[in-house]
Formats: sequence, structure tokens, C-alpha cells
Amino acid sequence: MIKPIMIVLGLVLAPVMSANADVFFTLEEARTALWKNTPMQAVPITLTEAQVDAIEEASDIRVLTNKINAWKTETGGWFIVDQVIGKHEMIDMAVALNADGTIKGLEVMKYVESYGDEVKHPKWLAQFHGRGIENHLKLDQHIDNISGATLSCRHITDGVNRWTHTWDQVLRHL
Amino acid sequence: MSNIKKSSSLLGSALALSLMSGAAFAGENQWLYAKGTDTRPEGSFEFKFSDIMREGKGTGNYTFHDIRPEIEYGITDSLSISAELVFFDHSFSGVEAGNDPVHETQEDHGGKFDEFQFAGYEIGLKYNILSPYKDMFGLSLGLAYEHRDHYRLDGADIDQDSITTTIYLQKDFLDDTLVFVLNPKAEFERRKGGGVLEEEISLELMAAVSYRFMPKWTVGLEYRLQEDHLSVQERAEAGTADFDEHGFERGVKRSSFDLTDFRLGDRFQAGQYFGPTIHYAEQRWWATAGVLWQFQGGGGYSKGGKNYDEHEKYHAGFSLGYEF
Repeated sequence: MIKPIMIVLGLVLAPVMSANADVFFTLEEARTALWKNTPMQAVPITLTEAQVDAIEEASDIRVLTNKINAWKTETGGWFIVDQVIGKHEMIDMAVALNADGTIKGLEVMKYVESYGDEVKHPKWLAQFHGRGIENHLKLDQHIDNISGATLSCRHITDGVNRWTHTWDQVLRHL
Repeated sequence: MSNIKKSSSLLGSALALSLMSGAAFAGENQWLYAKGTDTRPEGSFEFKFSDIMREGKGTGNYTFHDIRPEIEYGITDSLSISAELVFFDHSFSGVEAGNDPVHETQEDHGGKFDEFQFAGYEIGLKYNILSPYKDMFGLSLGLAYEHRDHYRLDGADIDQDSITTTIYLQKDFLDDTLVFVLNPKAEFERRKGGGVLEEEISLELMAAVSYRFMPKWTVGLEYRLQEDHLSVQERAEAGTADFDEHGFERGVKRSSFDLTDFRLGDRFQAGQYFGPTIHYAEQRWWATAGVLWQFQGGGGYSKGGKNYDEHEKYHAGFSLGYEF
């Protein structure tokens, strides 16, 4: 009796066993959305252990990788492509930092979760504009949560805290 | 612009090679019995299918499958409703005398019992109060009603209704990749069959931990304690040597969950389990498997420090889920 059930189950689930990621921005599209045609230069960065420790200490957020995919603009701002933790996989993010280290803009480039992609909405992301290291951003306190997408909201908020402190600890000196 | 193009390969390799870890998501079954505090997003459905095999009664051959297809729906982001069907697949023989009702049933069927049964259904609600992603810890409450037409232990025809209350607690660490959960659960069962009325308060405690060691993959450990406090009432035997004037067993402090008479009587039996689990998740579906071994048990029919009437040598199971 078990076998027929498993066969039926397999037939039901087989067509849905592959799912496509939702890509909202390519690298080029994200750069244009955030910086338009502002010239920029790639600045590949590998953080030292001391820098990782300093960022983690200042932001209270774990640094998942010591590689930073960054471009510096002619105006002294930065364009960063990074990831934050999602429900099952990572969320690809594009970040624009002003020359003073505040957030100019954010875009969700790729979101591979079944729910919670409301975090890509411009109105929600606009809450981060102008934010710097003055406040350690917290969900529900500084940033409105999206019910049903709490985990993604939390980790994007954590990401902003990490990026602004990465600017303060490292990028501002480059 | 060209700089960006030149750097795109660097970006790809950096992202691919970077130490990535996805977050644990406790709305899915990450373990065999324990669950996290997540509820379904409003308006979303999830189909689940689980099969937990219970193997070994200390003597003879015993294999039992508890099979449950389930649908879960998010009424609001904080309140989910679920409905599941319960199927039993029994196969046992050679279970020694004393381990009743399993032994009696196999003897009544010529020494062995093999049967697949539609056993009942369960309807449940889960309400989320605190989120582990933004509060100090996660907290949800569960309430379920279950009806069964067959007894899990031996497949006998019964009429059983039960109400289950569960507290779900969850604490996350390491960016939600390390998850601890605790589920105290109380089930109030009223069972009629063969002229016997049984009232049982079943208490369970599940404790589990999981760690997402790479995107999509989680390993875990799970502990489960189950014990029950059983009252047997046989009106036909009332006033005999073994039963008092109301038909309750003499010498047994009975349990009751009437609104005006709530009491937790003598513990009839208990069993404790422990074992590993593994979980894999894609965007829309997930799968979980695990094995829990009984390492300690007592009361009822027990041998070698383990209980074998309500409990088994080990439980091995899997569950699959699909969100839509």
C-alpha cells in the first residue's frame, strides 16, 4: 500500500521540482538604476581579518565573506553588489553609498524565495535612503517590517548596518 | 561601463565562492516531530506529506507507518489553519504475550496482522505571537482537534476524539542559521472501543536544533519525550476485584480533563527518543528525513529500560512539502 502512495506523490511533485529564481536587476541594470551614467571604477577589495573584526564589532552583524565587489564613482560614492541571508538562499543586493557613507539607494537584484519579495518594492527600500552609522537600524524601530517577510526584512536591515560600517571602517579610506 | 563588464566575472566567482549560508525556516518540517514558530503567509497554501515508520516492539516483528497528507493555509500572516488525513499501515507478528493490545490482535488474526487503514483526520490552528527574526525569541500557540476510527497500536476499531494544545518556542543564532526549538504539547484523548472508555492525557516535549551548513541544506538533532496518563473505565466490570463501583481500575490514580474535574493521574508509560535529521529546501518545495531511537522508557510493557507498548525501538521518517 505504501508504494502506490509514493508513486502518486512522485507524479504530483515531479513537475514542480525545479523552480526559477526571480531576477529583478542585472548588474548593469542595478548600476544604472542607482547611479545612472555616473562613471565608476572597479575596486576589488579583500578585507583583512582585522577589518572584518572591526566591521563586526561596529555593526554587530556577521561578515559572511571578506570579498567586497565594489566600484568607486567619480563623485566619491560607492556601488556594491553583495548578498544577505534569505529564507533558503541568499538575496542578491545592489547598494549605492553616497560620498559621506549614507545610503543613496538599494535594489534587490535576485530573490529566490517563494514568498516575501515585497522587500523589492521601492517604497520599502526608500526607508534606508540617507541612513548612515548614526543609528543601528532595527526592524520595527527604525524600519517598518513587512508582515510575512520578516526574515528578509531583518536581513536586509542587517545588511545596511553592515554596509554603512564597511564604508566607515574601510571604504572611506580608499 | 567597461570596468563593470570586466568585473562581472569577478563578481560571479566571488559570490559563488563566498561562504554562503541560507537561513533556517521553521515553518517547514525540519525535524520529525518538533516544529518552529513560523506560520504561513496570508493567502498561501502548503501541501505536506509525511510518513513516520515505527519499528520494533522488543519481540517479534513490528512495523507501523503513520502516513499523513496535509494542507496548510495562511488565514493571516499570524494565523494558519491545517487539515490532515491520517492513514495507518500495520504489519506485526510474533509480539510476545503481555504486550497488549498488539499481542492479542495478532493472535485474533491468526498470529499476524497486516492492514492499511484510513484512521482519521486532524484540523489545527497555529497562531504566532512573537517572531524569532525580530523579537527576543519566537512564540506560537497551537490548537488541534483529531478524530480517529482506528487505534494506532493495534488497528482496532475505536471512536477517539482528542484536543491538542502546543506551545512553540524558537530561538535563532548565527543570522538565523542555528535554530533551537522547544515544543511542550498536551493531548487530551477520549477513546471508546470494546465496551471500554479510556481517557488519556498525553504529554510530549520536543526539543530540537538545526544548523544550515550550506544553502538549502540543514542538519539537526531532535529529542522527544512522550508519556501518557491513562484512565480506563469498564462499566461492565464495575464493582469487581479489579474495578471500583464506577468501573475505574482500582489502585490507579485516574486522569480527567472535564472542565469541572481536571486532574493528572498516574503515569502509565513514557519513552524518550533522540536522533539526527536532515532537511533540504528549494524555492517551492522541501524534504526532511530523520531517525529517532528510543534510549529510555518505562511503565506499561517495558523491557531493558525501554517501553514497548506505546513506544518502539526507533522511528524513521520523512516529510515532503510544496508551497503554492
